[in-house]
Parts: sequence; structure tokens; C-alpha cells
Amino acid sequence: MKLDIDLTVNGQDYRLQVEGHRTLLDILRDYLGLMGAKRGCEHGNCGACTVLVDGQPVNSCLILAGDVQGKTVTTVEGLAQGGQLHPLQRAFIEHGAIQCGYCTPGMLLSAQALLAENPRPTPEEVKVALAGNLCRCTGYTKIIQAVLSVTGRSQP
Amino acid sequence: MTYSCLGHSPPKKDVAEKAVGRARFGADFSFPELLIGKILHSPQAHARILRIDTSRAEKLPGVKAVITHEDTPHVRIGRWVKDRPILAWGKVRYIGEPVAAVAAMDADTAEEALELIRVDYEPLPAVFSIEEAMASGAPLVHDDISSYQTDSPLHFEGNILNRGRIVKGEVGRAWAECDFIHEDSYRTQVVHQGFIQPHEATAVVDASGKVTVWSSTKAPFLVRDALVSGLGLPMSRIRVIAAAVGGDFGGKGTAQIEPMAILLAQKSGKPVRLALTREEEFTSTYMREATISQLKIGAKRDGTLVAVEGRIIYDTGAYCDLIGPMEHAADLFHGPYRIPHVDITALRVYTNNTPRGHFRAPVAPQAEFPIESHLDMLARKMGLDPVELRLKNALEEGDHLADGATVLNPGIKETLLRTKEYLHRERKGRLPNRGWGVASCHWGGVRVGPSGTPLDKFSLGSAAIVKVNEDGSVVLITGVTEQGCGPISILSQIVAEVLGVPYESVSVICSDTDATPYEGSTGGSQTTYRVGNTVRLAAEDARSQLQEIASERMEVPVSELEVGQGKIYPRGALERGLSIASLASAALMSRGGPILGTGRHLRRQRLEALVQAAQGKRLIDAPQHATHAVEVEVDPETGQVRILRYFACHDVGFAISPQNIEGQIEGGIATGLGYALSEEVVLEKGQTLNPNFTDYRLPTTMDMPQLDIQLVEIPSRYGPYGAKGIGEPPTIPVAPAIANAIYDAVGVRLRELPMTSERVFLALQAARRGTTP
Repeated sequence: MKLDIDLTVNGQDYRLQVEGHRTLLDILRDYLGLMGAKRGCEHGNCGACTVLVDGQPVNSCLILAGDVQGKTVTTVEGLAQGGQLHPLQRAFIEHGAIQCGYCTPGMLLSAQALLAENPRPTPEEVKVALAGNLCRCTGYTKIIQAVLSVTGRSQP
Repeated sequence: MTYSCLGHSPPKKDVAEKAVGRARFGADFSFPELLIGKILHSPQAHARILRIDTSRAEKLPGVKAVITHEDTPHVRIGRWVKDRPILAWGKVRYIGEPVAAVAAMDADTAEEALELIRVDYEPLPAVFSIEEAMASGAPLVHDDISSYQTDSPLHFEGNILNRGRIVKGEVGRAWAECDFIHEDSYRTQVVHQGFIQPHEATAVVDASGKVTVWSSTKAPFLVRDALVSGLGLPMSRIRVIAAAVGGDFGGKGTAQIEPMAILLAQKSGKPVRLALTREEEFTSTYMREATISQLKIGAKRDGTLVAVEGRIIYDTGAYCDLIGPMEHAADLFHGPYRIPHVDITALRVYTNNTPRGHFRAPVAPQAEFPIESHLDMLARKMGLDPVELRLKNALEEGDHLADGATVLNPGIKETLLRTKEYLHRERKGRLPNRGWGVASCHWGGVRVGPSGTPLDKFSLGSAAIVKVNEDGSVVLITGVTEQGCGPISILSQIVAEVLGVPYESVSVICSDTDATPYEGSTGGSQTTYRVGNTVRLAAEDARSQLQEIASERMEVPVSELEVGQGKIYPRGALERGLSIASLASAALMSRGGPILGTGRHLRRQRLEALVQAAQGKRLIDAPQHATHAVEVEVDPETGQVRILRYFACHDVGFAISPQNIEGQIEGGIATGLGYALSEEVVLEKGQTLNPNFTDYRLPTTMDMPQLDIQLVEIPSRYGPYGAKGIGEPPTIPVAPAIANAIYDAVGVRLRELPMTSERVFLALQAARRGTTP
């Protein structure tokens, strides 16, 4: 059965007809062509598909189409504004926090959600906020450093 | 020596696109009429295939192609021993083996079609452990190993695919010289590379029949090799492009899904995207082997190691994707130490388990967990400090490995000395349930044999092209793949250094079988060492072309010209120099034409000197050595191990990009922590019980301790600017360092990985009862 869905993604309004069992990740990748959110496990374990729904980080592979009716979604493609990288994106680049880059979109959005609520988190709070985003390349060290650098705090 | 670009850590070339989410990975390519591929896997561990009926699946609306072995040549593929069909024919050998595949309008239809394919199997007796596989009269996983093609001779027998033995001195008589002897046995588990991006490929066939595939592979040329041999396609009709690779760690260096994606695209006439699910990753790809091993080491009272005898057996599953003779594993089994008497055997055995292949330092973590645990026990038995015992026996320049190869520029001693200093500073009095552990590692190095032929296939030819544009910017063209470790950025630094241009003005075209020179694989911790030299040669070639033009124009001999700051200038007179841009523009009108530097065959040009120096002996340059120290706290009630502090000292020869190297070490330690404490692919009668990230636990942010990383730089002879490799070694010492720390903390010895809370708890209970677990 197809549902009519209205949603806003990265500031753009969409009206879509989507089969009810489709996930938000399917909508982003297959309907809207936004490939920034990644498929890593489709079980909500790896966090590679993390996006913000009304500002909250969610695993988009676990959100059904019907649940995003009327919602506002931010993906990694929506972080940079006016051709300027988001401070977190700059920090990830400068601190060597990106290796293969597959976890990066999800990491950025989890970090962004944290900083929106808590602009000066402790290292421990950063770790907790990113605990649902797996990374196999970096050992997390430089990712945590990058997030802290944006807050003006020093290394953990 | 000061460098303008080397030794700094400029932002990596690939990361801006990754930061904004625009880097395209294997499943990020869209085409009109794109079909989705899905694979049907065997539910049987070992069975004869009696019949495959795809007729109902083919009739399902939306299904555009169904393939089985009947659509493939009956040819086996594989990276070293060609033992694997693209789709099973005759029989299946593990639960998860691909039997058929479909392409349909969408994923739901493709999955529905899989359910409509009927396969009739006749189950066969199977073997699920090394012990079962090696028992006399065991059922054979492969009936006809002798017919399999391989790059080096196999010593097979029954289910034993290969064996290697290295012998030096006379172990049998040496035991009498020893004051202390320790004997023990060890077990390690199956683990998955755990990259976050599953295998993904998108294949397109054009009107002329030419196939292009964008793949998650890090080795497009090896994939092409497999497509040529496995599908019978000529190279002119295959183009493999490595898309952005979402983590490799050895798991994406061989053709796995690409042949199926191409067959589906050919049969349907439409573009096909084939991506594995996480469950398929855990049940149908090449993972790190489980091992069992026994080790016996003897030493003199003063700590001098005298003899080592051991045997290590790798369960290679139903198919083997590992390169090389087993002597390599045997060699690693005695670590970075000078031991005069050696007798070590390494075996690789087929079972009906999931297939096994490369994972970051293939064969080494399993071989070095025993030796590094063993030395700790030996030191305690002898009343010696474990660091001192290692220092006393650490390899030095000119020492011989067990296979007789002479070691050049080993860094092991320096890493041990730094660790000793660190422990002296940081290790304060004893606290209950807390302890420190130390472990070292030996990895890699480039071997050269008497005839000058490299002994490892990895080190074969390499080539690169450096183009200088009319504005002085540069394009590097290389077959290397950027899988996240930073190779294209490091190679760009080398180009910038040689040509004296800004790093930012170097761009890279890479990993495309039609557009770039051949490159075997981006791996083996050898890209900087090996391709770095090739790229340096290509840049030097471009530079000498520019210098010739400059020499003519300025009427100054080439030998008196210097390069730097975007100019070529008479020595000491930068202001008289001509810009690279003006020289490159002038080249368009010169006799030589546009500036195009090439570098190839590093062996001939760079290593000839090494071969001559060897005087008929075997040499090993740039061995990669490290020592780690870790402090743990063990909860005696639950067995939980908490990592408090972690120190790692690595010899990197010369740090071309220090930030990048730190990243490799930090990530390697994290992977090692998972191997040591939490990760295990659990199989029961060939069935994978935990094929997901809930039950297979990768380390998270919460598991990472504070890391203290130190680099030492003992230059290699022939690496670019003295550099050595770094990608693989950081994972190797983690598990034994933690095992040694657990012993130091609570006095129990873990000989089996992973050291889960449950295992530690049981060991503590057994110790309290005075039994062994």
C-alpha cells in the first residue's frame, strides 16, 4: 500500500508516494537520490544511516515511511550552508577524523545533535553521544578530538 | 634533511568529498532502469547439488535475470589458489556459499524471486574443526586439490591444503643447553574485518558489450584478473573502477560479488547494483582464520633464547583466499627475536566453515599472540623483566630470520627502549586487580632473493605517471586505491616534494583499470614503501624534463639547478629561476612535447643495489616493528577487563604524514582491542550464529582508552625517504599485551581469544579452585 508523505529534507519540501514498508533510508537514497546516509547493517547497530529528524539523531534504517509524515529531516548533504562547510565538517578534515568516510555522515549528525543540546560537552559526553556510530578505521580518537575542538575544549 | 612537504600532515585529498557526503561508494551510482541483484546462498554445509530449478523465479513479474553455474564457465577463481566457483556447481562446501543470483526491478522482487528458486541437495558428511578435518578418514572438502591452479607449489594431503616448515640449527639437541623451557598451547577465533560498508558493486554493459563495474574493491586489477580467468572476458571488454571504499582491512582485495553483478548485467542487458547485507558479510565473505597452536621455547639463565619448536594450524574454511606459502606464518611464529634453533611448522586446513582470507596483517595476529604470551610466561618463570627478556633477544641489523634472510634496519630495540622509559615513568606501585602488559610485533618487510626476484607476489611491478599542466599544477595517475589509509595523499606529498610545487596543486587519478597503470593491490603495508618509490621516480622523470628546458633557457647545466617554491633556479639564486608553469608551457612547443613523467618497475631501478648488496643471500628491508604497553583493571567478580591506558611505539622509518600514521595506529589498536576482548564469529556445525553487529561486538567510542603514541624513525634502506609501512602492525601486539596485563593484574593466563568477561571469570574461578579452566 502506498502512502502520501509530506516531509522537508534539508530545507526542501517534498510530497512523495511511498510504500508503507519503506524506511526513511530508502526514501533518502532511492526516492530523493541523497546518497550521504549509508547502509551499513539495516538493523540500527552501526549508525552509518544516522540523520536528524526534527533535530534528533535517528537510525534512518529503522524509521518507517509513515513515521516521517510532516517531519523535518537533515542529512549530511544539508550540513554545509551557503557553500561553507559546517564547523564540524572542517574539524573532521583538519583533525584527520576521516579515513574511509563511510561512518562520517552519521558521526557528523550525531555530533551535531549533541552540540545543539549541549554546546560544551565533556569528552565523556561526546563518547556517549557517538557510542551508536561504529567506525572501524580511526579508533574514534581523532573523531572525538574533532568534536571537542569545535566546542573550544581540548583533547580528551 | 628538511623537506617542504614531507613530514607535514596536509589535509587528505579525498576527505572533503567524504565530509559533505558526496563521495560515491559502490552502491551510490544511479542509472535509468537500474536493477537490484540478490544472491541465493547454500543452507547446507556440504552437499551434492542434484538440481536447480529457476523457472518459477524467472516467471515472477519484475525479474530480469536469474543466474546459476550454468551461466558461468566451470572455472575456479581465487587470489592464490584457484579453488572457488563463482556460483557453486557439483557441490556446496559451506553454509552461505552462493548458488544462484537474481536481478529484479527492486529489492523486494529480487528477494521474492530467491524464495522461488528450488535447489535439491544430497547432504554429505562434513568437517567443522581442524581436529575433525585432520582425523584419519575425514570426509574431503575438496576432492581434487591437485587440479587447482596456484602461484606457488602446494604441499597438500587430505584436507590439508598446504604446509610449511622452517628449520634452523638443531632443536632436538638444543633443549639440553636450556636452563628454562616453557611449553603451552593457544587458540584464536574467527573474526570479520568489520568494515562498515558491505561489499557493493554496480555493473553496466554498454552497447558494444563492454562491462564497467564500480566496486568496493581496493584491488581493481586483481578483480579484473578474476574476471578474465573466471568469466573468460578479454581485458578490452572489462573496466573495473574502485569507487570510494568504505573500509577494507584486507577483506576487499579479491573478486567476490563483481562476477555475479556482471553476469546479471549481461544477462538482463540492464545496469545492476549488487550489495551484500551485513548478514551476508558474516556468512559468505573471506574472514580471518581460527587457529590452534603449540609452542615450546627454551632459554639460558641469563635470558638468551636458545630454541623454539612449534606448530600452528589455520582453519581456512571451505575456500582459501590467502596469498603465500606457509613458511611466512611459521616465520612470524617466533617474532622479532634472534633464536638460533628453530623448528616450526604451519598448516592450512580446509573445513566446511565459511571461507577465510586476508584481514589486516594476515596470519600474524594468530602467530604472535602465542609467542608474545609465551615470552611473558617465560620471563616470569625466570624472574626476568619481560621487556628486558625481549631486549636481550631483539633482532639487530645483520641478524638472520629463521629462513636465513638477513634483517636490515630493524626497529624493535628502539621501540622496546622507549617502552621501558614509558613504563619507568608511568608504572607506579601496585594496585589490586590492576596490571601492566607488554607485547611486541614483527611484520612485513620487503624480501629479495638471490636472483633478485622478490619473494612476495605483492612486490611485483608498479608504475605511475606524473603530468605537469601548463600552469604548473600536477596530475598523478596511479593504480593505487584510496581505501581510507591515505595512500593517494602520501603519494601526492612525494610528488609535491620532488617537483617543488604546493601539495594543493597535485590532483590524483587512481584505481581504474582502463585509465591507470597496473597495481596489484593497495595493501601489505607496502604502498608507501613500494609505490612511493615508483611515484618518486615518475616525479623525478618529470622534473628532469623540466630541468632540461630550464637548462637550455638559462644556459646553466642541469647539475647546477635546484627545484623549489614552484621554480627551477640556478643554485642559490631563486630570484633568477623560471617557474614550473612557464617551463611546462614552454614544453608544449619544445622537442620533447608536454611534460609527462613515468616511473615503473621499482625493482629494476631501486632495488638492484639491494640485490647486489645481498651477494646471493636473502635480505629483508624495512621490517615493521612495534612494542605496546597496556594497563588493565580486571573486575574479580565479573571478569570484565577495563583498559585504563595504552601506549604504542612504532618504528615507521620516516613519517611522511605523521597525522595519517597516528590514525593508522589508533585504528589498528581499536581493531586489536576487538580481537582481544569481544569479537568472535561463532559457528556451530558451519552455521554462523551471530551474523550481525548486535551479537558480534565491534569496539565503540566507550571502549577506547586514552592512547599514547610514539613514533621512532629507523630509516629503511630502500623505502622512499626511509619510510616503512604502518597499516597492519598496530593490530598485532594488542591481544598478547592485554593477556599479559590480565596475568599481571589477577594472576590468570588466558590462552584463548577473545578474552571475554566470561572466559576471564571462569579462569579466575578455576584459579581459586586450583584447577585449570
